[in-house]
Amino acid sequence: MSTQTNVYRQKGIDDGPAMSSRVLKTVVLVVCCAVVVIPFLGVISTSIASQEHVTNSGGFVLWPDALNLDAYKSIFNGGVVQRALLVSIVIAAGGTLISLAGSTMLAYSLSRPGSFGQRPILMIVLFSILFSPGLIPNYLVVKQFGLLDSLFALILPTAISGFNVIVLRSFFMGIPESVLDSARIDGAGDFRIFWSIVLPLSRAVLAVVGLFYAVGYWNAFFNAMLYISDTAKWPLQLVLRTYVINNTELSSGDLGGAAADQLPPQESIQMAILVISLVPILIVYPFLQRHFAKGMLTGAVKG
Amino acid sequence: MMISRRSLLGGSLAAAAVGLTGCSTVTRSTDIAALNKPVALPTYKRFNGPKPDLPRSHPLMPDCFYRFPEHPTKVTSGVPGNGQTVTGTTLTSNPIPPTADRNPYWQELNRRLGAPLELNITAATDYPNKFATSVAGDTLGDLFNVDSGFAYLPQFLEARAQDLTEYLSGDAILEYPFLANAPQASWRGCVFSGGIRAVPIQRGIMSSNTLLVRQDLMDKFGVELGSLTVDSLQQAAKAVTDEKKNRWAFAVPPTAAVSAMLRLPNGWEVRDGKLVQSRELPEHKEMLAITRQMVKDGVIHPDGVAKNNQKVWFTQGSAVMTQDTYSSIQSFYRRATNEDFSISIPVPLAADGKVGRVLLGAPNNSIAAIRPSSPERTKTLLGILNWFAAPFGTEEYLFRKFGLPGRHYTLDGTDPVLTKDGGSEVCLGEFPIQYLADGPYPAYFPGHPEAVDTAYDHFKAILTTAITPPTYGLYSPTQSTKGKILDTRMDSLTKDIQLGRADLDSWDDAVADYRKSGADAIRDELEQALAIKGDK
Repeated sequence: MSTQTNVYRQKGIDDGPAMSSRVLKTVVLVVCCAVVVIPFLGVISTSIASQEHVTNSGGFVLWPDALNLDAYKSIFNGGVVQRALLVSIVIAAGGTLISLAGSTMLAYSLSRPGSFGQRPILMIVLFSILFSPGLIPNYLVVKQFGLLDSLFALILPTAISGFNVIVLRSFFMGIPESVLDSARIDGAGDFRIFWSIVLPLSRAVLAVVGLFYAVGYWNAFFNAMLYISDTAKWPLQLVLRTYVINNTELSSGDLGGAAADQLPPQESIQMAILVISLVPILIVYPFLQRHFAKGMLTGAVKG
Repeated sequence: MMISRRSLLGGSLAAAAVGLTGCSTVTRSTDIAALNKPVALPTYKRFNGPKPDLPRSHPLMPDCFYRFPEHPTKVTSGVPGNGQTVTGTTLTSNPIPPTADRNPYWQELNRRLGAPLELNITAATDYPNKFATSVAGDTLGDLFNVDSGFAYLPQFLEARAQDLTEYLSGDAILEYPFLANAPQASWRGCVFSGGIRAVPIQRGIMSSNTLLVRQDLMDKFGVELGSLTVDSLQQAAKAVTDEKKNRWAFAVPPTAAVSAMLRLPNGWEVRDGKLVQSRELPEHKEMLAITRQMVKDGVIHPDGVAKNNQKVWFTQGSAVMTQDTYSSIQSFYRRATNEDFSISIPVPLAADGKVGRVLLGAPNNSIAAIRPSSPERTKTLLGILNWFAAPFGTEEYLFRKFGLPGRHYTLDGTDPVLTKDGGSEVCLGEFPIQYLADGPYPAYFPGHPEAVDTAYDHFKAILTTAITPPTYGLYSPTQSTKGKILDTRMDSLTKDIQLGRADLDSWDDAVADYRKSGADAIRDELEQALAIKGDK
């Protein structure tokens, strides 16, 4: 029966694209995926490859011949890298909390008509998106606040992002006023409304903005290079930069005590550090993914 | 936050503006005569230390040692410091060492100095940014390595560095015998606005670029370089290249060797009473054509023009030849994993068959300055810098570069070999105080006396015709403010031409634009400076 129907049905929009078009799209998508996946695969493979394989492959292995975890063992044996990893986690976690707290409160106040100084404060936020103060003024401000060599110097100067505040404000403006009015009638104050009504309704946008902040803190190295003299307080990305971009050799002490003649290949260690720096964000992302599309669209639809 | 070269220069200019605010007494940037005013240079008195294993055949020849002296002599008494903390800003090209509280080497260094040393250490590639912000924030400390690319450098040093002329000029330097062990060519780079305002981090000719060859691989493939002319180099390159085996002749374009073969000027050169820049000459274009052809022939590592990873490729054997400094030889031997690893340094020949003209590097790696201080404090800080400059073969040098026996190094014969703690705590023998002051750089490759012979024979052959940069120590305001941008533009086009992305003839237009955009102004200023110094 259904076969007969198909025979007589005219070609229409329900048929979907032609086979050739589908093949073409598939090829393009596969190529695009390969462009992203192959370098990443190379990074992981090199991090677990042996010295001989790394040498024979010209420093970059696409598929290891055997599993060799020496690079990871060296890194996690307690040295500069391990401590820097801890510093990065503290900065990313602490910074994200501070940023989310500040940004949501600022965005909420800017989203409610009639708030004190709403317009000039909004202008200041927008101004900060368009114009950046520059390297030297930033440094002088941090110095004047006595934040040099403090982890707060890596959080406070970038704690509030104007872009994220605008995204949050747009989302908060979408919450019906009637919901907030009913809470007010029940006797809730502004902070209670914010904490018990607004934030629970905004989980999607909080997840997205939180991820933005977390990735920003996790990847930041430049401020640490400028503001932190005590190398014991350097975050992972700065250590990573020192070893990868400067192309310097890691010594055994940095890796926590492997004998110098037993060090894993230099390239493997560099790639292992890269993998370690990527993993936390990769772990967090799937948990936030379901909120991501909704949160991203918030800023796009309403401005 | 990523910083582009342009914004970096902006940062440098902004820092100069902030740093010089309120200093009405600095020299105007248009006053070339005042900026390049000469001063009586410190007297050179060669330190009577251990005798080199090979005789010096030329004033520029570094001391060549097969092995570390068996009984290093202690050449200082007491401690240079007075107990007061000494702060400083410096850089490193090695892993950052553990902080003083976790670093026995640093603790012993403080004890030997008689002063706690607090260093702000930054990775070399990030140093210009760090330096600019530290200038603006006035957080450089008592001693600081100077970023040579900093805009308005003479004015900055006038405002923020101690004038050391009365302490170091002429025979006054003899008070600091290890600083007096630096040749006058090095001190020329420390004179700004008629004063000695810094001390040199001398490297001599060891920082010059040269062609290094993996002789073990050449022998294995049965390829002879023979007389090193352009033709023989190209033939040998084709013979050793085997793309299928992941092996190329060169890690990077061999511009140092080709420049020597073509007898190019070392940057600027006086010809017929006028300065000419290497880029303006047809020989330079010929060099571009040769290296472009090499890329086309596939004898240069595919990433060799765009990416800087030649040390790894050369050590691993992906590249049979590379271009690096004489001082890098030691690090290659240290990285090498195969026992027959050996490096040769061929002597480039010109078309007439005579030795080519090798372009030597600047005599200094960089310079370091002292914060304006009282005369007593200045003398103390100079004493500390003098201690940092104790030469090779002394007990002070042995400690400075290798740390404490047992913990940081063990002896292989008389050669100190860093232990794993030494590698970390002494920063692979290059603790960052070496960028505040250092002794002369010897040709000493521990455990590889054959490499010393190779370098010595090479030096003997090339030094008769080699040239140092003739404008070193002269200051051009236009070079200071526009030089980086102009160089970046020309270097970028050089890569484009080598990679075949730009036509060779586009070089002519670029040179015309280069001259108009600042090179002619730089030429005028350098000519004025040369005339003032009596060199022209």
